[in-house]
Amino acid sequence: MAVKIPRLAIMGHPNAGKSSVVATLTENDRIAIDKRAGTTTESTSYPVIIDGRTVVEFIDTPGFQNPNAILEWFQANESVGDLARAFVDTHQRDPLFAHDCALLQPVAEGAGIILVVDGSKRIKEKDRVEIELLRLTGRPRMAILNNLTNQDRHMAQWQDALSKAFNSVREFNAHRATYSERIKLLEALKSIDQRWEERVEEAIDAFACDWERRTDQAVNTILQLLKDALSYRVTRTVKNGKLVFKTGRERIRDEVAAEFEQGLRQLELDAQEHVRANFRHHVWNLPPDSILNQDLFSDEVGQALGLSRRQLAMVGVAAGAASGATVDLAAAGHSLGAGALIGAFTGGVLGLVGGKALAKLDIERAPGTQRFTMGPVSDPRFPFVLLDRIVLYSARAMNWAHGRQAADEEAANKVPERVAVRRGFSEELTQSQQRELARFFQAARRGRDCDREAACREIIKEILSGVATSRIDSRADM
Amino acid sequence: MDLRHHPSESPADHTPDAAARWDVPDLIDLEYYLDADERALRDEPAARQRLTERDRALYLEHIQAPLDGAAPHTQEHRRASLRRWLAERRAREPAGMGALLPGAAFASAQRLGNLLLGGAGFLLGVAVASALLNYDGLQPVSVTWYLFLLVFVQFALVVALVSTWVTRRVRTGAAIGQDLSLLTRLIQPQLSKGAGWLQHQRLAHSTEEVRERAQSTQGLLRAQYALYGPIAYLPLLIPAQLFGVAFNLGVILTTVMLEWFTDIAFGWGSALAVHPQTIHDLARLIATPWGWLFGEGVGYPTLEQIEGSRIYLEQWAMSSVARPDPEHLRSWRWFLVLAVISYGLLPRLLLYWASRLVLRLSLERLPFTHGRTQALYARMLNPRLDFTGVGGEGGAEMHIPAPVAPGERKPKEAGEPRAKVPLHVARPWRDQVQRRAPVPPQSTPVDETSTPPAAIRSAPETAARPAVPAVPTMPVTPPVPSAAPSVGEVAAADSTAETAAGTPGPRATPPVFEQVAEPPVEDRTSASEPVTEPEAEPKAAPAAAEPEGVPEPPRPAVEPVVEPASEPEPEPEPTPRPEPEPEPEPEPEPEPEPEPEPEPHAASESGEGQERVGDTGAARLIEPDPEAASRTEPAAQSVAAASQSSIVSDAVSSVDQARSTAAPEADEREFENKAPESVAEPESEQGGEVTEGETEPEAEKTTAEPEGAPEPPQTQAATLVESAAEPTSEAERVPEPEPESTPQPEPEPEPEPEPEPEPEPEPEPEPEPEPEPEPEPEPEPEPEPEPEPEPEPEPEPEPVVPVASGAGPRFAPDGCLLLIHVDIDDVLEPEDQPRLAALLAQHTGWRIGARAPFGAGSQMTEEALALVTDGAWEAPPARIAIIQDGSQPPITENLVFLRELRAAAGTQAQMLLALVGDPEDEDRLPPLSTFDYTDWQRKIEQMADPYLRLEMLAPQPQPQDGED
Repeated sequence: MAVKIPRLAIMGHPNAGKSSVVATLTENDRIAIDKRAGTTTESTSYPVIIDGRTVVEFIDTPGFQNPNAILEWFQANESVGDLARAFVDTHQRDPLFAHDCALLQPVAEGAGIILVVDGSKRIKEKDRVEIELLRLTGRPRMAILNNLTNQDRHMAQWQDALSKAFNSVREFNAHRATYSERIKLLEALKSIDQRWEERVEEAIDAFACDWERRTDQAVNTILQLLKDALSYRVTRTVKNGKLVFKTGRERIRDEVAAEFEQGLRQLELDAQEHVRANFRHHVWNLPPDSILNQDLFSDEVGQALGLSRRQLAMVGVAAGAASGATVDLAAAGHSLGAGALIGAFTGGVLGLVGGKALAKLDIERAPGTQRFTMGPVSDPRFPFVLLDRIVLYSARAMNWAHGRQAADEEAANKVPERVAVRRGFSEELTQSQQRELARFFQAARRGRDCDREAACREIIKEILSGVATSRIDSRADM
Repeated sequence: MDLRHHPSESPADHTPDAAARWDVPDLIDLEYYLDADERALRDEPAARQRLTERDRALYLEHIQAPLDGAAPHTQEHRRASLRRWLAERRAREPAGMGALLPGAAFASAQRLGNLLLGGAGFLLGVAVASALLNYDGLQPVSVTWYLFLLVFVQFALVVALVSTWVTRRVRTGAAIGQDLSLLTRLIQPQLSKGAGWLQHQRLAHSTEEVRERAQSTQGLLRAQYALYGPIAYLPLLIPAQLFGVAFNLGVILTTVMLEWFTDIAFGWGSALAVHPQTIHDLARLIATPWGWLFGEGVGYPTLEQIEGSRIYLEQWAMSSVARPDPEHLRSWRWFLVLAVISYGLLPRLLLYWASRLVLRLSLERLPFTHGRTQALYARMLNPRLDFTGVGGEGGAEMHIPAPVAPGERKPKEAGEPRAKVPLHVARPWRDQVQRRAPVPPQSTPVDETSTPPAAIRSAPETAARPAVPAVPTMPVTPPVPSAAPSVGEVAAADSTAETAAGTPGPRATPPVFEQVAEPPVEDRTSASEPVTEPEAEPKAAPAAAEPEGVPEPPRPAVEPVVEPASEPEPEPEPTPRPEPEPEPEPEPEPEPEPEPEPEPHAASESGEGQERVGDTGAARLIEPDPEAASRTEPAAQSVAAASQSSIVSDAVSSVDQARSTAAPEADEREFENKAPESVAEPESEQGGEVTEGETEPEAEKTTAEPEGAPEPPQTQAATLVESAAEPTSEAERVPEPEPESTPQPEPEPEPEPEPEPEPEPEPEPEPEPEPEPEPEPEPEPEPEPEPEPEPEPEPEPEPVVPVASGAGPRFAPDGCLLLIHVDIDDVLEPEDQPRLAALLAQHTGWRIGARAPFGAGSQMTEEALALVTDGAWEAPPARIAIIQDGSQPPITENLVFLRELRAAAGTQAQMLLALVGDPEDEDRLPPLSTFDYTDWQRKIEQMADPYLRLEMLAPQPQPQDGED
């Protein structure tokens, strides 16, 4: 192609967050990022490759080490045509300017410039120097106000200063940027050099397609998790000889119950792993207080997620009265021949049982042996809790910027998370949607596919895409 | 008879034509592949990447091109691309595996099943027909049975099948079946539950595996049905139709054969009183489909024939009295065949064709939008995004600049181009006012001893503001500056030339000399005028220098003085900048040259020079009446002495002698002079305070002077010189004392000498800015103070002064130079000054002797460094406090500055690097975060500078900030 590939050097002074921006833009959390300044020591290219063809190239650079000297050199040599090239040629050997040469090298090779500045701080001398010297390079350039805090007093000033020297100025929080913000930033790239428009457009399309596909996959994973979890059961056959005493029976029962819960946890973990890989996260730790770190069956989770009791009752009454009865009949049918029904649970009035019991325990007596079976899940709340949790996890994965790995979460001036909503996703759905979900859950419980699946797919997808576009709060605090 | 009508079902789909069509085996294979992919995904999520790449590659290489007509995401495109994908996947199976794919297996099984079913149906048909047509000659074959079994039952089956089909269709189409389903709803669950229970019972006793497999099969079937609808069961129905067709064919063939090759009698009978007419009507009704074609008698029997074929059992019993007409008995033959054809074969054929048609249509209408195919389609269509390039770790860590040897610095930075760009042009954002503001404080050294901190603050502030206006003009002229210093030198040289040519030599370059020479003259001339203050200074300075001129060390002091003097005239500031760089170089060269020149001058002009000096002095005196008078006198004396000495020496060689001789003399005189100077300074302070802010700092300096008598005078002199012509003369003399005091300087001298040559240029710039603003106001105050204080301080300071490095500010033993980064300096408010001083004192016990900003370009750096080298340190090792913005990570530039500072201040100078957090509104000197601090700490430690101390300026809330 005759059109040159847009190359963009991400520049700024040390610790301005250049690597974070690159990581977030290219969804690459393998880029070394550290709170400490000077983590990036050389210019590294991060191409965006579409079908094996490089479309855009982002170049992560070390920070300016001698901005004043560079500026003065530029000013003194203003008559030289290509300042960046001349500077690099002149200072290549000087270890003092090693980083400066490394970062000007791409510019010397014709790359565009993305200046990253920390918009939360007032404009410093260094910043002005850098702005001026980048202006002198004469390349297409754009500035990113990487404001990691809610401190926006200086933003206007920054805007003024930057817009004088840059084709485009955008705010961008490399640690919080969602998908839509990334796309907007890419859109802005088009405007700084018209020749890039086609390529950048292509990249944006690819990003959008990719995102759509990943959302679909996440929905698939979620549905699969629900189906698996709701039809999950654990069976253990024990010889009668081991059940002589009551304690032996209880022990077996506890073991089966534990195994059942563990199995469900494992299912959830697997699904989370899928979601995580799906959104290209390799390095990612949840904040320790996240509800996702709580046990799936803990009270905190139960209280924070899922439907409220009233909603559950409404859904149960509206959607499940008939089917609830059939569920019970079916359950009874299953256990009739098995004999004693020890689990305290009866799936009775759906929605009114705030259920301690997660599932019922079946014991089938056969000559010489007894078969303990736990499952499927019968607690009507559980699927909603599970759904909320996996959606929450997905939301976190979607909105967790890849450049955030080293974010200093303890820093006091970071953006305070919004006031805790402390409500699950499902709780905010309309009642008809909740009903759809409830029906789907029931079908899944019986291991049956049902035509609700498509509707549920739509519902979940809507939540996820809402989260991605910030239409729905992603509950980052949970 | 070939029952296989499905050539397309063969898995051979590599022909381009077949590649666009879907068939049942294709679906099965598609499901198979999708299932395999899904399982791979479930086992390891990482497989997604691989799958994505594979499918996208397949699409780009093999699928996209043939489909270029269709737009993506349309039905045809989806179908075609999936079909081609399947073909590609199959083609990629190893040879021999293709036949083992489930689709192929299904196809062959279906073929075989069709064959078997067809054969079985045919045989069954033959058997049934031959059994029914078994005629033993006694009893005619019963038409009724034949019709019932082979026509009515068959037809009923067909009707039932069709009706269920139709009702199903209708029900799914619209919800009409709701009423009907009330019943089915009640019954069906029970049935299914019963079935489920049965199954459960059976499975309960089977092994786990069997149970799971059964359940998964169930699930699979259900899923398949949900997905594919009729396609899921039609492949099983079609063989059934085939069976029916074969069966009918068998029946028909057998019947026809039997009729052809055997004679069969057909009859009918009934125990009821059935009238033949009824039968005839029935037969005609049944024969409706073909009756029109064959007509009565052939297509169906006539009434007569029916009557004749009726069988009365008694008839046979009564023996054959009236034998029925055989023709009548045979009359049913074609009726039966046609009936089977019409009601057995044809419906079956129709059903067969219909089901095949439905299958085909369903296949063609398959949307392929369910989850798994959707995922596959997305994988094919979506561009594959790849972000490679995980950075290598090849880059070097941030460079820690090597220590700068005292002499190295300038040449390095000496990029001449730099000097060409005036600061305010280079950095338009840096307001001149802003910039100047810091400068004046630098220039106006504050002696802590004499003035309390409050005074200090006020001093810089006031000084800063007023200073600004004067500055702009100076900086604008960069080229001149170079000349200016030379001018100063020249002036000195001129004046000194007469007396001590050697002294000016180093500073003044020969060429400069000439050029400069003119300006000085002008100055002098102008000096006589009111404006001449600055001019007078230079003259006086040189004059003073001349006598003293012998020792080089003093020269530096003199130089700065001179320069300022020259600067004040036209372009003080710019001159200093360029000067520093060029000066060092030219100095050495010029020194030798000028010496010779001056000598002759001195020889010839010595008298003149004296005269001139006296004149100049007089001029100065005249201007600043009181001060000048007092000072000029001593100055004149000294000058005279110098001139005398020079005169005495006459010869060039005698210069040295002159120096030596003159030195003592000069010293003595200097002391005398100093006395007045020091006196004058205090006065100036007072005057300055009264008149202008600027004067205050000077006054402070002067006060400081008393401490280090000899040095202070120098510094004072420098400042004074800058400000007022008279002081310059003093300053000149001051240097003299240094040389004289050479024994004293020993402690300092070593460090000083090194920096001196380099710093000399630097100091010049500093003084320049000061003088520019100050000169105007100063002259007034100076004169007043001179007489009074001079005498007192002189004696004390002289002995005390250890090292007088230059003409810069004086630093008391506990005074320090405060360098503030511009980022902080810009933000600081006047009310922050006391806090800053207090914090500093808390860390070091130092008081602020002078302050300067840094961080905005090399010129500012030069000025700051000049303060260090130029300053008069009463307690030799310099003390420098640097305030940095610690919230900005350390960069090479910062370290380089520290290195330069070290080079300028000497290896043992105490340096404190105090870090401040990012300034906030309420707290402009906030504590630094520990993280940032350690970041700096790492870098500073790598510098390995034992006399550099790193501290947080403001203590952190919890942790203490210890002092080293």
